[in-house]
Amino acid sequence: MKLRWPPLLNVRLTVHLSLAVMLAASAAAVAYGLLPAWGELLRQRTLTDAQAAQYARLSRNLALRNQVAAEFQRLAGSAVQTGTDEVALSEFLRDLEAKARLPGLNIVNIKPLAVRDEKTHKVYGAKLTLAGRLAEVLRFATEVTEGDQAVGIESFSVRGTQKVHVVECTLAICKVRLVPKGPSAAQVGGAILAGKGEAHGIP
Amino acid sequence: MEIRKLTRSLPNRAALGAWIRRLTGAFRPLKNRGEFHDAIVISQAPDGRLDGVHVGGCNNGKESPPAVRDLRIGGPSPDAQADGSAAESPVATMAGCGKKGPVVLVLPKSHYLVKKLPAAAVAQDEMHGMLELAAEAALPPQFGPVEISYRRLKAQSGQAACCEVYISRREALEDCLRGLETLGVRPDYILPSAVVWQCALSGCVDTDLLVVRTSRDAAEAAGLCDDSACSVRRLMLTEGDPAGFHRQLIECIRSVNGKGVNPSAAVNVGCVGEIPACWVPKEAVVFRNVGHQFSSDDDGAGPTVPLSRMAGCVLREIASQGLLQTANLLPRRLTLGAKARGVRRRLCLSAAALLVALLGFDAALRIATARYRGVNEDLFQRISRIKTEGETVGWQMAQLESIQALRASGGDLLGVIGALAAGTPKEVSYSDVELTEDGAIRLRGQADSVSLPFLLPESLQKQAQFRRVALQSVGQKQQGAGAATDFRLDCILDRKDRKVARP
Repeated sequence: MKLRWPPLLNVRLTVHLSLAVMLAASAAAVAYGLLPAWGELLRQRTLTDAQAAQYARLSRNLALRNQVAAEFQRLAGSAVQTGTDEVALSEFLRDLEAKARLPGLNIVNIKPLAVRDEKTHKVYGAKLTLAGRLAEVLRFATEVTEGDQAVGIESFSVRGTQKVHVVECTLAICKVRLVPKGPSAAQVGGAILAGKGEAHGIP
Repeated sequence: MEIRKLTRSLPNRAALGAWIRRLTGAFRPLKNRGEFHDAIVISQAPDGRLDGVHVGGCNNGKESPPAVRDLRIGGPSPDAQADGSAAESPVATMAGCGKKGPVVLVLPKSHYLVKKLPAAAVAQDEMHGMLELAAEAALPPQFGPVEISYRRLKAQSGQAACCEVYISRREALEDCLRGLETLGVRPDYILPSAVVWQCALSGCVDTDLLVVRTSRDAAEAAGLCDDSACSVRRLMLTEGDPAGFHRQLIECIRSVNGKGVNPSAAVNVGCVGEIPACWVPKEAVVFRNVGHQFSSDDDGAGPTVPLSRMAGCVLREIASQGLLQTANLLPRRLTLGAKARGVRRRLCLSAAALLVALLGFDAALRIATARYRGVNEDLFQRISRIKTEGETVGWQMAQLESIQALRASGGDLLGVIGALAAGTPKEVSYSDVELTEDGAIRLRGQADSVSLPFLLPESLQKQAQFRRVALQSVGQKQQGAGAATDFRLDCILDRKDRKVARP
């Protein structure tokens, strides 16, 4: 059967109609075919980039596996969180008190800071005010931070007093306890303890 | 695999190339084609025989002078007579050459009338209709329906613009086209011989009249008037009657120059082909052979030269597309139909190209998406294998990093005090040294002289622990019998050594 062109349509009308139909069909094809396909392509590409970055990070971690294990071997066993936060904080304060018992050095004030849960570790802090000779203060700071303990000084303030050669030093000392990997009870317990700390009015 | 099958099923590279050329040729504008390259020009002799020439085209993409080659149409060729085969039609000959160009039919003078009509100042597309009305009004009613075409004449000074209108009976044209149709020929142009003559005369210098013997017993003569109108006459040749030929020739000369033959000024007549001795009249008419200008590649100008050969020789030089369109006597029904067919074909091709482009783009998107999916799947598998161990190591690395950072801060107090002691003159003392969590150091102190605090920033800047040391304030106050200078100074603790590069 031979297909005949509609005789009523003149050339110009045919051109306009055909162009309109082509335009509409193209718009429909773009809207319902190409744009979703384009969106899917972009989604897959983003996913590929993210997965490639993740794979690169994990591969790099695995390459450093032995080095990290050796570093962990050197850490003291006490660096890992085992008990509750109260026990850990108590041990930390007791240790500070013991090391501050130096001749010519007085503890003016000591107060614990709020426990900070940093996902991979917990930070126990105390604000300690000492009075004594500068050399004794420095000796105390050195004794507290040296060794295999993960202890550091976040901030300090040293003031001269009326007494000659006596300074008043306020130290914010922190200690880190590592949290084992995985959704362990330690994390859950840490969250509970943080809530308790606030309830107990610990600053 | 599918693609290999597809390519194997393709006929061959040459056929594919021809198909692509045909497809792309459909989109090429008509005016850029070199209209009379690869064209076939046909004319019908008064005895009804068809003559044709093939006007050659480009050679390997380089423009070369087009060659004109005679074609045998209608009636057995000398070669065909030997083996009894029929002669080829022009289109068949063209197909054999692997080329396709326009087919031009040149109408002899016996098939059309020429009238000079005034051209009103109307739009180009309205000119044809207006001239058609004027021509029909000028013709007797019994003439019947006509097809017209026209050529604009040079405007004479002080006179209205005129057109040379070619009028032909529609019925005669349809008969002619039907006859050609049986030979498989469909002309794209039907040009009156006057157009050919006009072009031929424009190319001949010092020629007042051109005569060509189109058959054994007929010739055509043409000359250009002052307004570039072309006067064409058919001359009948009768054996043993040279006076009759001379009479017709003189009439023809008179119609061109309006005076006839003047003994004081000779009329130059160019003859295409051999000049029979009996043609030359005793009057002041100079005959000369200009046949070399209209010879084909196959042979020189013989005793008769078909109009088609002349047309092939002159039309290949034609540059005005407008003249070809306006002088075309092809019935409007066919030209409009061809135009509509062309438009529809281009529309269909455009739609197909658009569809192919959309499908191609869609396919490209889907292929790219599938490739990304494959990569993602592969990455997911790889990540799954190392995820647990890798994340554990990453966790431990983060822990080590935090411990190292904290341990490094343990020496801040000793470092700051030591650096202050090293970088401070003896005449300066500090009453307050403070380090905040973000590494800012605030110093307050006293100096013996008001000039000393101004030296402190430079001195402290030399210590590795401090940077951006800035003196905030300096003031002097009365203290006992003398005066004491207080100052305040800020700086930043340089903790770059403390940063632990994450492995």
